[in-house]
Amino acid sequence: MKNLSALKYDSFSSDSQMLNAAVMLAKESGTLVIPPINPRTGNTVYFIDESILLPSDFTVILDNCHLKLTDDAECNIFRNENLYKDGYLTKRGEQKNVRIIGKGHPVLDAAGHNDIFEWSSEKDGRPSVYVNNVILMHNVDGFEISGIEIKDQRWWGMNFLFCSNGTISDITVRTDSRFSNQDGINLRVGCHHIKLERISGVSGDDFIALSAIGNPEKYLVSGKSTDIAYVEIKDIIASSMHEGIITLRANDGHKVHHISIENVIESNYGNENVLPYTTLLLNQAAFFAKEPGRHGSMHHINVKNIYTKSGGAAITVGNTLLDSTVENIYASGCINVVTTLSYDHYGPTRLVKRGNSDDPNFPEDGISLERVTFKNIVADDTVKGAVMDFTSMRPDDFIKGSFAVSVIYPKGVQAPVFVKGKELPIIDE
Amino acid sequence: MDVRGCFYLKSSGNDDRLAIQNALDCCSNFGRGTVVLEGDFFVKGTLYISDYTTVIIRNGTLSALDKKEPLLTNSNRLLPRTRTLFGTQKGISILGENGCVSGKTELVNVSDFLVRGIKFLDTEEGVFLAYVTGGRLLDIDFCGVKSCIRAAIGTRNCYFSNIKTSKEEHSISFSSDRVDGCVVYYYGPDVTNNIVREIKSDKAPKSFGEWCKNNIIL
Repeated sequence: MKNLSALKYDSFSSDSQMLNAAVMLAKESGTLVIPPINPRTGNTVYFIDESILLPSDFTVILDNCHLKLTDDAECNIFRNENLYKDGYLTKRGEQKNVRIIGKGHPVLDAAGHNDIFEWSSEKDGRPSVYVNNVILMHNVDGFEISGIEIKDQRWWGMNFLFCSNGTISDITVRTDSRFSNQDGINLRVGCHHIKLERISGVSGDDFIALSAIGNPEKYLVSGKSTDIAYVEIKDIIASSMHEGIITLRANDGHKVHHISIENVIESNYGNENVLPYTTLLLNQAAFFAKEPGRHGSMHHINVKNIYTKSGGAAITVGNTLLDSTVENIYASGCINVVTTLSYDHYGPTRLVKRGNSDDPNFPEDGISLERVTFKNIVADDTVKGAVMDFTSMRPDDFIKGSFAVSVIYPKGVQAPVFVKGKELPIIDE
Repeated sequence: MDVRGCFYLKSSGNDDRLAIQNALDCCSNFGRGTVVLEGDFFVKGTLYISDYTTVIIRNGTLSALDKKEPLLTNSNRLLPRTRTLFGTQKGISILGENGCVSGKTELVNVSDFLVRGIKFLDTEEGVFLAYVTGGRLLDIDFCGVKSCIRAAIGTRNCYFSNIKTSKEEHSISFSSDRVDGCVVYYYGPDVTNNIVREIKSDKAPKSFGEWCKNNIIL
């Protein structure tokens, strides 16, 4: 194991240079410890203005330290070293066993901004917005990120593309500032066999997003599937300022399948301005590059134990879902419990139904369900609308081999509502 | 003093309170730090831990010589601000690396804390929490402890996982009832949004109080 004491601190003009040199020096041992106090400056903060590049078979231990992006930094705090190098879009360029482990309470802090947003990305000489991921991992098989706080991310806190066999655990996301697209954790095309556990906090945008969408040419790895599959998400205590807590999307010919989601508690951590439009989004015919997902693009999604306190819905279903179960949904304070309706924010504290025809990002709401079971859907008397609202359906939508068991709602909450000819059978248990 | 913010201590064999507290105070002055206690330590009185400070008990036991006082607690308990949201402390971690604590740990008005890998021994009460949020209590053993984890008023958004007890009275008790002498104004009494799993105990977790709800106990 190496720590920074092996370095001549004076020879570096920045903390990033020092840390990258430390990684190189520690490559043989495979482990670097970053201590609480910056030995170069005596400060409690390491200021980052260049990405720290991580090799394969390497563990960086963040020992209760604070790494902060400088205001004008155009870089990640951590990314794997092969990204953007020759061969990075091939299996040959795949890295192995990259670990970032927190000890105590380390913080990766991105407070401030460099004006690279999604809408200004690669314009007027600016680099891609991908520089604003706090942690960016691409084409890595075998990874672990645990025990850290991500603070005030400038875009998505963590972004994984074509990563597999990994664990993301004991992560806290804290977003105090307000601008668009401050997702917590994104798993994008090609991610599989990943476990997310004990993820908490509040993000600006989707808290955890599994998005198999788009055709990001700069990141497609030849020979690897673009599907997102075999992902386990459990024990989430979180919310989103504006969007969804856990969102799943499969469009553009990619698939999302064999996903397990268990024990999700919506918590605003005492901030009443936090208002997600849904706790869980199961698919959405939106944000695609060429086409929405076809029937069969999302299947084998198993959801259990969701506790919703506010917002548009506990569960929003969209586009298509196959061979899946949704059970033990406990909702209070939201508009509907399970719905096809999309909601949007007008200001921080109001939710309105999204306009289907006037918002180009959002085509018609609706869902085709096949062999999907909803079980134990429970509304309390603070639910404002219906326990199940499937009134927004597209002309070609269908419901086959699907049903709901044990749908419980008190007087004052609207009974399940469906479009004629597209009813979901409700069975009393 | 180690300029990297890590303090490695060895016991004097007598009352180590002053030496450990000096190291903890250095961490506080810096703004963050880690104190590693290697071997057995004995403390008469209470150790006060500040924000962003990690205490690691390694290959030994940290023992309270007076089991009536808390052995470990957060430093704002000494200040009037402890009763206010302004006084919330953050980032306190107590970690065991083959380490034991024989004494009580109290955390009051703390957010984003971690207690992990500790074996609590031979003490009336193991861990007391009140007005805390965003905590993780993971991989903890209790042996000879009457009340293992008391998650009292205002405990919310915490994880309790892989907790093992012997034949004690309570493994984890959640209660939103008022606690004498312990208040944080405007915090609210709710004990909620906690997730409990993998409790290996003869005694299942219990919940009391009007404001105790929406806790997932598996």
